[in-house]
Amino acid sequence: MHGTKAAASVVEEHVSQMMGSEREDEEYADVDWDNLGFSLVPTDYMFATRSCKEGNFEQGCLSRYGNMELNPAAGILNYGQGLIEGMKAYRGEDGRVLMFRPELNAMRMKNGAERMCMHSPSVQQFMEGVKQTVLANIRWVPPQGKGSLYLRPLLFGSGASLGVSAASEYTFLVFGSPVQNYFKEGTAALNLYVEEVVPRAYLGGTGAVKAISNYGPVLDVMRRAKARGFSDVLYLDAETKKNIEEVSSANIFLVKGNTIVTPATNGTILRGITRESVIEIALDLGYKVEERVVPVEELKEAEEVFCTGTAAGIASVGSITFQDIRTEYKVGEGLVTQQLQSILVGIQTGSIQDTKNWVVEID
Amino acid sequence: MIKTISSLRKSLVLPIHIHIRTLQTFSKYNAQAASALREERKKPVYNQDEEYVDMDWDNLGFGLTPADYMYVMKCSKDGEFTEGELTRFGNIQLSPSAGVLNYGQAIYEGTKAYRKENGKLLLFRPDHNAVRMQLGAERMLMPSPSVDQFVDAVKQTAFANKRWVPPSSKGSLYIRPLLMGTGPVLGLGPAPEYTFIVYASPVGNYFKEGTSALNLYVEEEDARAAPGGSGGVKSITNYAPVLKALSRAKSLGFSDVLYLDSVKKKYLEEASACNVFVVKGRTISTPATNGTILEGITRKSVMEIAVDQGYQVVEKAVHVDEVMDADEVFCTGTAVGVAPVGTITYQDKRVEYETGDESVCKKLRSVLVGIQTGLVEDTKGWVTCIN
Repeated sequence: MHGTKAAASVVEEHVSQMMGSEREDEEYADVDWDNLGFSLVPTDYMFATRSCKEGNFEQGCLSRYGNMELNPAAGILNYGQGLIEGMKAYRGEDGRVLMFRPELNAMRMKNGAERMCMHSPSVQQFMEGVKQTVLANIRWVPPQGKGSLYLRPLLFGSGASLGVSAASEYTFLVFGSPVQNYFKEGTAALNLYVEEVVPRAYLGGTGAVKAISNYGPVLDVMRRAKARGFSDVLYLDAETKKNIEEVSSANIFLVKGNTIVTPATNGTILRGITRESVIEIALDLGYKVEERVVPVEELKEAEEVFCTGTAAGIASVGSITFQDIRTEYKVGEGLVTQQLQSILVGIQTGSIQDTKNWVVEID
Repeated sequence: MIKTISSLRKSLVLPIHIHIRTLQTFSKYNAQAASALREERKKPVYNQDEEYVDMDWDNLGFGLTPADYMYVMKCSKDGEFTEGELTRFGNIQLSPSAGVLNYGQAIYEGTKAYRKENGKLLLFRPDHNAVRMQLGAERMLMPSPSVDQFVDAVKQTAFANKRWVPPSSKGSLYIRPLLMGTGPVLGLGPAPEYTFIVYASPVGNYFKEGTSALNLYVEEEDARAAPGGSGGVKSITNYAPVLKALSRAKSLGFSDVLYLDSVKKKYLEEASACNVFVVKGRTISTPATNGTILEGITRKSVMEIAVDQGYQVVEKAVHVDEVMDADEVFCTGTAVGVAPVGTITYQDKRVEYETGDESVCKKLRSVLVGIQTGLVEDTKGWVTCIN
């Protein structure tokens, strides 16, 4: 009776069984596709699998999206042992459902797990989980041009730990939600605030991996910035407070002439997949791209600034405020930001030829 | 040789200085309030004929042995915690999109119920844990139970699980309050709903060394916290990031890791789950809590006991060189108690410290444990009897 075994209990059902008896005849779920923001819209199914003491994950399965069970002493609840990922499934013009470089998310989770002393699903298990989640929730992938199905793979310590220690059992779970724009500004340019006191990460911390521990501590400073009308916060390095790092959940780029600059990922910054892809697209277009230390003073000299992230996409930054000085940037059509954005979105949604094998069709 | 409480009692010197200390305005609980609370409970939740659970009390470590009952209280969107209740320990239900799972929005506490020789159950300064949780909740953008709600929840949990409080001198009942963002979030933001739970487990010694002296390793690569971060509150986000350094050190035979400040990498901060003190002559120093270090309740209690005993107690920046030059070093924490440090290894240098019966650490530990277990008169109002 007492001492219930630690487990994330998952109902064992297969897609074909469930879909056979409950399949909707409509192609799409009943959602107001024109008014999607970035809040949770529960979908039909989620995917889950658990690891055992040896570290291997069993074959996962789908279950109806809903609450799961966790031991109160689970490692994630008490000691923050968790990693997240963020991905999107897009509906292309021809109706195909596409994902963008999903193997990079799989590898990033694997690297993150190593840093956080967690078992990790293999790249193949990760991809299988994501693919099953997309297929099972296919009617939740918005119509072309109306957004995407955002996927949230989660890896967390579900086994119990009383003293500070790594859990002995882990759960890998994937759920999704249809989304459109991440920021409440929609597609309008963002206004960022440079935070000087609270760092997002520090050397020897977990900033370079997508650990949940990077996020809770910045909720307060984000709220304060948003209350003052800013879209988000731009963080400085913890050691010197002189160089820009990234935004709460996006990387940052500065454009000046033909040069595009972004902070180097040196252990405190998350190496974004959108970031990496944008660097390559920019190089292909003939821009000079520099990954280096970016002193905060350079913000004053940039002509354009944009953020990149899976959730954020490529988002124009209209202004950045640092120590009461607000610098404004060029926004609008015909700029570098929009050029990169249209190419990236074109590749992701299949309207531009994918010469780099970045796009995976889910079928 | 493992010292038991009874042998400590024989060697205990009782230099009681009546030292009235002005506390901040916390709620004060006493046995009368506790019994009044009990009478208010509408129905008996449990029927316990035996005095103790059937367990091997001589071999308690620090693994989870969940006690029968846990306490659960939820917070609605308006930030008010509704009345909580005891329930059988078991899995809790969580949305996969819960704030705690996706963004680490949670803080926890640690306190213990001790059994006095006469069988009575004692709590140690639970109001301090309550206030610390409130401060942590504010930092992590969460609503928090009031001090009264927190202390009541801890008392209810301890009393309901009284069969799980080890017999006197065999250990204690470790109590884990946990406040988490349980409402769903997708984009990065605070959860819309929160849950406060308290669960418990009987425990013995925290470290596998038992009561033997610890061997610590000074970590130079990974940091536990940075200025402006969440190191000063008991956020769950402070712990998973240090598992790697901790497991590296343990694989090399160390008991735990000593972290340095993240800026200069020269000043002592604390260990993975306890504060640190350095003794040189009659001076006891401990790193000042300036935002990156957790202000331990055992830490502040030990500081007061040391002042009472006539030591000079200093809170300041403690340079790592001072640690290597000390006579004694010890760690303090609820789980850890007051634990002597036998050696510290920094870069390639390994220093040994005094740890014998005459050590300052042992003296302070005896007084603290004596107060916590009701062997020493509690002149400071630190101890609450709950039955």
